[in-house]
Amino acid sequence: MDATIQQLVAGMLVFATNFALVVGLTAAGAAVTERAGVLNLGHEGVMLFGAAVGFLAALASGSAWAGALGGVAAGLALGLVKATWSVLIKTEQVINGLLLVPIGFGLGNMLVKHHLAGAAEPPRVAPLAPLDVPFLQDIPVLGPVLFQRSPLAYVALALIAAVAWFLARTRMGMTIRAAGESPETLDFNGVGVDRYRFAAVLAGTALAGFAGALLAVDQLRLYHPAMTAGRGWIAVAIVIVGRWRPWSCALAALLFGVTDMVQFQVQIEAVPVPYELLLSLPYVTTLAVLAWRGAGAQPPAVLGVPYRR
Amino acid sequence: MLLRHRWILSVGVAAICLGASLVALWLLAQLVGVSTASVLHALIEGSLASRQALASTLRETAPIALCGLAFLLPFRAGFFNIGGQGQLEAGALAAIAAVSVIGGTGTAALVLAAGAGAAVAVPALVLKTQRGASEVTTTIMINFAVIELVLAMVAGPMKDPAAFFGTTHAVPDAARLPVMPAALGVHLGVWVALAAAIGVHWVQRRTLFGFHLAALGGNREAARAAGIHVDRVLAIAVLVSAALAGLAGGIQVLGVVHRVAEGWSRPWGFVGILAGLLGGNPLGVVGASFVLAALETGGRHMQAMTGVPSAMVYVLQALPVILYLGLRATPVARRWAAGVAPSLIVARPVAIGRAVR
Repeated sequence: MDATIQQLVAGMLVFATNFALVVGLTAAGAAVTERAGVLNLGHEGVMLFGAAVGFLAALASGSAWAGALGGVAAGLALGLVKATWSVLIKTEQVINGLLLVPIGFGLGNMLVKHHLAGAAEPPRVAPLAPLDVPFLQDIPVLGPVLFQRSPLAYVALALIAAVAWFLARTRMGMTIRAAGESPETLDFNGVGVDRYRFAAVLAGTALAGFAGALLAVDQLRLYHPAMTAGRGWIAVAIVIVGRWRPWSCALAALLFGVTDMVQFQVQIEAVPVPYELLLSLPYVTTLAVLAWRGAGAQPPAVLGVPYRR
Repeated sequence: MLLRHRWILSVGVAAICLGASLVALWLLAQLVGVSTASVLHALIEGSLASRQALASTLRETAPIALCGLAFLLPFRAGFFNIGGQGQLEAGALAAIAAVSVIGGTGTAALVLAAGAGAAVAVPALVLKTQRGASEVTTTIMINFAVIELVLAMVAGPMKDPAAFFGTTHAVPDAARLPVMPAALGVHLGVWVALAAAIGVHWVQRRTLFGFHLAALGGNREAARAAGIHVDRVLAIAVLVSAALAGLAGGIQVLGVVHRVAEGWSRPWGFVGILAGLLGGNPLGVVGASFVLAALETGGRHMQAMTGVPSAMVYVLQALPVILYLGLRATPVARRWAAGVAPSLIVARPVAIGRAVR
């Protein structure tokens, strides 16, 4: 294959996998939260806040890793609010989740604008040195895509794997799943349902915050108020498409990344289709998949219902 | 006796929440190193202090109130209509198409706008009743898709050839909403929104449909067993609410911006949801919309005057709602509210998965 075409395809796949990592990680976290029975619709806000805080942390410290940690901290902060309102005070989960979006967006935007006030040009974060795996990175197309990525990308992938393993194979994961299916059984056995739900919410938002920071600090490396561009909302939808299983969510996110990539490429090719319609492709595809698979998906039995003894 | 005037409780709690958000304002002002007084002054100056500011706030109230009604009406039946923004934009597009392409009157344009809004909600409704897809996700996805569609139309088939950037033809003077009263400078749409709120309030309180809707929200299966056509009632509620949001779009086009251009819209749909939650009932929605609109117009002025990013307004708008939710859920408030007709916040929430069948 011609070298430039190889580069082009590799570039496109990097684009798609970047999208998939961010959205898939958020969806995996959201899956944990929802499996515990708590619905969190505010991931867009958590990602935005994580992106803002992560960006500032990376700028201040000069290290993208600090940015990632900042994103996690931001996610935990918002998660604390969400968990308190959903699990402790037990208000309507759809609403208190939605409210995280303006709060996360507003706070993040304020912080960044305040710290960057008076900067001559928009600052950028220095990229992390990519992890160059010696032989494997030379494989024609897949090499750069799979083996020449930034360390944070591998961390994100490892986190998705960890979440999948945790939910399916550990006792705590099983308890979390039980909290969303039959909390009465847990309660009957003396297990604190709310405790696990609280932790599940925090886990979900921490991961979403990390994903937002990943976007800001590793992928785009700059800040824009609307930089998540609906990724948080797509992640929430992908949880349903992926049937609340982390690996399925990641796969669905990859398929969506490919859709997004196709839309981007078509724009470049100057096909006579209005580019705005192409921009709507991810959302329309999500709708179509929801319509097709929506009936079969069985959500956690008590999703959205607070547990009262 | 106080039970009969339970709205006092609601207003009181809402006032406490708004007061608490002033505390948040103080905190945020400290964070960005600006004096609270100057922020507050700028907010009030931009929203209420002059006749121009007040008119601007009232103009902003209209779409927020209509979107608030759009959220509130089906909310009583347990349906979360998050699609207000998309319904509004579709309505705006339909209005401009009606007026500039087909050459219709302003009234026809508003009717078409309402119809377009309702049409946008149909996929979400169908997906929910036929496929069991949660309307929360579908309405959000439809929002994004409709917004892109509107942009595509504005930059493409409906573009004004004489303009530099993507914008449609202007609304001809004959179709524009008249300003009334002239002294205040507020267009007819604001009064339409107010009338809509009164209408929805009347329907909810005084008609059989309103009663059926409330019954549906209290316990869907019991309502069905009592002979209420739950699917039909829900469908009507959703379509009417979406029509209201579409009407909001039409009003904005015919009364305020007079054309649809790239970047013309603001998140009235989302702020409308906040107004719906804070208001609790149609008349409360109007009041809450006014306050939220004041924050919007005041916020823009605040950014210009003090340099505080207007994004802070989003936090100031969301904070009272989240506090209000929290306060309403406390045992005191629940006991109080439980003594009267069931409200959705007190009623048992239905598991998202089981909501439909």
